[in-house]
Amino acid sequence: MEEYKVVGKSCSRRDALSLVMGCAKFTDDLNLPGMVYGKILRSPHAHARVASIDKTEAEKVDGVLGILLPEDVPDVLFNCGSSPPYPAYVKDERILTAKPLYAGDRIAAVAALTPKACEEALAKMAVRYEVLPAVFDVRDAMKEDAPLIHPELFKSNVFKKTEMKQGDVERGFQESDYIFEDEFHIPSVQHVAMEPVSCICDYSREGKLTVWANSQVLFHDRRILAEILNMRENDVRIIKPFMGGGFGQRQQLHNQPVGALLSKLVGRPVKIINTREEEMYASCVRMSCICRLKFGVSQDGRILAYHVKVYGNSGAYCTHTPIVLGSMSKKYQYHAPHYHFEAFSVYTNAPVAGAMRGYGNPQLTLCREIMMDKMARKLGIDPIKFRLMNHVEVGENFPGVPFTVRSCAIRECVKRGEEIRQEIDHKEVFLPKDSNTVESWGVAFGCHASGTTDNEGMSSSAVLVHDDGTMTLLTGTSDMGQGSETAFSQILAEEMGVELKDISVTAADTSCTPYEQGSFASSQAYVGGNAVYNAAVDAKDKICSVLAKYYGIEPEKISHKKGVFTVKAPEGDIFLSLKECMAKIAFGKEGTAIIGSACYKADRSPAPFHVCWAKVAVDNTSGVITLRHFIQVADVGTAINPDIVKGQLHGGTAQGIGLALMEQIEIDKTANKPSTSDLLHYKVPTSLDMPEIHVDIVKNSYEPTGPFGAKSVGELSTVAVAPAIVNAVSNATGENSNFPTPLAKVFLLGGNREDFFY
Amino acid sequence: MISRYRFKYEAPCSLETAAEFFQRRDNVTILAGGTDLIPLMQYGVKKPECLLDLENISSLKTIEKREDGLLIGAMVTLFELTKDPVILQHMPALSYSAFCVASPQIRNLGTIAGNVLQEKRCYYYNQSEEWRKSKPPCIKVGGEICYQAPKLPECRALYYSDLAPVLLAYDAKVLLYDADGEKTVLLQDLLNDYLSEKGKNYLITGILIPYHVPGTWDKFIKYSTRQSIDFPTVNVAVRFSPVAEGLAPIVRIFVGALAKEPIQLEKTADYILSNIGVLEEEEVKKKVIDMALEEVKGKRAVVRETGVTIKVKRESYQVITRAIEELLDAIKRFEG
Repeated sequence: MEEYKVVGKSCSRRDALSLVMGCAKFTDDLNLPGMVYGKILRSPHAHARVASIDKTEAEKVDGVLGILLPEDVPDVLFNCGSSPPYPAYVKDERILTAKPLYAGDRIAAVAALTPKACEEALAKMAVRYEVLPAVFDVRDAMKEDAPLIHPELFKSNVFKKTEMKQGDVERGFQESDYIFEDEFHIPSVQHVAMEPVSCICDYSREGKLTVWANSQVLFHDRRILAEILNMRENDVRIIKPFMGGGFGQRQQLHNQPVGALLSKLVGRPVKIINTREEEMYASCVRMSCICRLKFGVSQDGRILAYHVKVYGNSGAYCTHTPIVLGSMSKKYQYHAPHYHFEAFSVYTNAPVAGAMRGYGNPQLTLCREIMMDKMARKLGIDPIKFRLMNHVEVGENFPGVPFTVRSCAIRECVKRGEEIRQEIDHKEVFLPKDSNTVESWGVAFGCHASGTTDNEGMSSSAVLVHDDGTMTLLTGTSDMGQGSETAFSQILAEEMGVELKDISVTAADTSCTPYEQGSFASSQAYVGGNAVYNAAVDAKDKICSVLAKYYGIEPEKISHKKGVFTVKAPEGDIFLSLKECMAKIAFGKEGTAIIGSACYKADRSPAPFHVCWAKVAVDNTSGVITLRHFIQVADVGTAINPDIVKGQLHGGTAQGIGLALMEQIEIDKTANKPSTSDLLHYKVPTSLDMPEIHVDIVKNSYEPTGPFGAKSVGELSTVAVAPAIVNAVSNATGENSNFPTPLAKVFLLGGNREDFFY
Repeated sequence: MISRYRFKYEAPCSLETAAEFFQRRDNVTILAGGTDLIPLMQYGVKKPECLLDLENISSLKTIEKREDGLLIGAMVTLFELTKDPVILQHMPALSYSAFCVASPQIRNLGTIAGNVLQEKRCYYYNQSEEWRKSKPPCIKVGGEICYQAPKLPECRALYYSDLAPVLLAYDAKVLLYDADGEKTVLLQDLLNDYLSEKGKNYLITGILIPYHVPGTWDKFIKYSTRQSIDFPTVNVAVRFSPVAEGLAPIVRIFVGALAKEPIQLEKTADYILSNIGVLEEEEVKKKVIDMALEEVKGKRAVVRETGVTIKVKRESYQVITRAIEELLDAIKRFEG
């Protein structure tokens, strides 16, 4: 493999220093002249009708500048999901509503001089609610007598069916020797990004709206905002400041429409920052679902047929749900000549389901990988061997996916992970003397995509090459902490043959950076990276053609490699650095500017792969389980920046551990809404709750269609984490049963506090 | 923003001033660290009219070896309890229980007296005012119903202190002021009152722990969903003090987080003491454990909590088995 100078090196992140020095400016750190604060009155009930609102007392609060009620805002239906304009995205949501459909729905909003005045005003809003019956579980929502959530749009709470078929699954089952069936209930979890959803909206200048927001998808935000506010897109400018996490939560509009209208009302910029409580149940969550899986397997362990039925809990609004469900179907990495996937999007009064790391994939992979273990056990085949013998290889297609797999190092992942596993076991040969404790490993495979799987992936970028040979990369992408700006700089530096410090980045401002579909679907390294690579190639081509003119020779006589331009001039070869080239190009009678630009339209979405192992200890007398080790080895193609990739593997592991062990949005039957309203009630694991984590990246994977061979890692990193843990517990308890997740529902969790102390 | 409401705040530098202030007024709420109180104020569960902050009183921050025991000042932080060499050596269970409280940040601020006099908790009222708006208020916030047990006329909230079971197992005493003046009471008596429906208001100045006789053994075990912050799903403290200087041996077992007060397993402790010579017999050991489990089962109250299912909570008491087994081993070691 070619040796790279910058790509494949763990350069420190562009933003590292400003983050650790505390000088990075997040949305809440920005203060505009004349800026005031906004806050949203949210429904305390999961389903209700607003019988009356009286704002008289609220308006009297000192510092209050304006209040918006449902009748004060445009009565347009929209879908806040910031994706390309998919027809499946039902427009069912209002800017403010008099018929709240979930606890947290937006009813009214206030702008005031201080956050405290906002709170006081909201406390003084006299709202009378007529409480309506609410449903939270898809099974209840599908009952005939269930209250309809959107009666004006659908006569049933099941509002979309998504389907994919290959072969004849019934025939496949008939031909199978064994049938395995199971049903799983996967609860909702929340993203818990460090920085809450934030925006500042400035609509004080007539006809022009500027929004600073921690958004993952600026251009779709702009399109939707322009549409619902009846504006032209070029009158709306979106800027993303420093961003403290996204995880899919910010692949949609949150408070921007309300903020824009408040700003218009009071004629000042308005800042709205979610409280953690708003984050927990009034922003969005990962879709909970009921999954029914059925496998037909031959005696020798080959999967012949696979039927999946998923009921996805969309919550009160559609947002991403039908596409989340559709995406699930394309992440099946094993063979199945007969494959049938059916999914139903169901409205409930639960918190709204949005996008979250994995976009449906972690839920279904959790179910599938638990079943893979069960099937292997039943067939008497080693679970890893069983998976590998059914795994899709290079040159083959995932069932139901039109493009061919061109890189897959799953066997290398297994090999490396097994080495790590043996090292761990070697160090820990002894068990506590009381044999009540059983230690076991569990394994799971996963994969994901690099960009959307429907050919929507598109990114563009521009490279401004300056006269001293340094350059500025313009990209519309949102770096939300995943390090895309650093990775892009490495790609650009490598291709241009310059040092990393010669690159600066201007990103994520719709007024000056080119269109980008957004930071979602783990698309940045692959889709965005290809666009950056293409822009670099374009810049070099332009430099070569200008140089050709300069020397009066044909452009073909100029070549570039590793930062050196070779000019085959009549008087002999001339070697120039980029700096020297630009010195000749930029000024003088023929002086010109070099702007490389390109877009990349993805026609495929290569799958990265990973294998996860969990080691648990189960105390069979007390029923206490403890997660001791976690191994994750990934095939991400070329790791543009290995440390950033490893950081993602750690982060994804942590989120998967939460899903497996303790995280869930709980709906309380008495309160009729979520009880997990803060980070004490909602159990997101922290760094102290982590087991020993061991991650690695396999070295010999190269995706031929990726920039320098890269695929993706962001979402992949969490996909197969939870099933590895559940499988480990099943192995330790010897129970072949479905443990519900999170496992804290059935086990007491043990931990490491004693280890820390003694 | 600490609170949407205005309140009076006093932070005297001397105990005399504080005590005088406390006794003179009947609406004083003590601020002793604040890691429990401030979140309650932010959620509008507590709306104190007047806060008396003990932070500036240095005499409450010392650990003093007195003739009648170790006196731990009320404002000694949980972090200090985990590091104090005397406590680490002679009362390791107390150190460890302090280490088990919440998170490092909270241990840096939280104090021994604040931990003991923490509020009981329930997820129906440990919520923001906005959240609570969808239902009439419960007993704890001025209403008439308990959502945990709507048929019962009392609040079913649980008491989650990690320190209290250990201090109770140590037969700790409390130096305090109440409306009547300065006094020393048994922690058990103080908690009996404080955790009752109409508990009184106290200004604790210190916790006095009688010195253990030589050979004393103690242990604290906590289970919680997260190791990093959570309140206990269940905790247990045990102590054994052998015969010494004419004193009878002592066994204390307290289980926390399962009821509105720590549950004392007196019957089990008595049984252990009366069978002290035959504890190695499997039959006796089994009887002790069964008896302990029965005793907890009879005294606990299972309520709904977030993050812990009723099923897990109901079975959680079984983890006390480990503490009892270790206790029996410790007694055997001493007797042997």
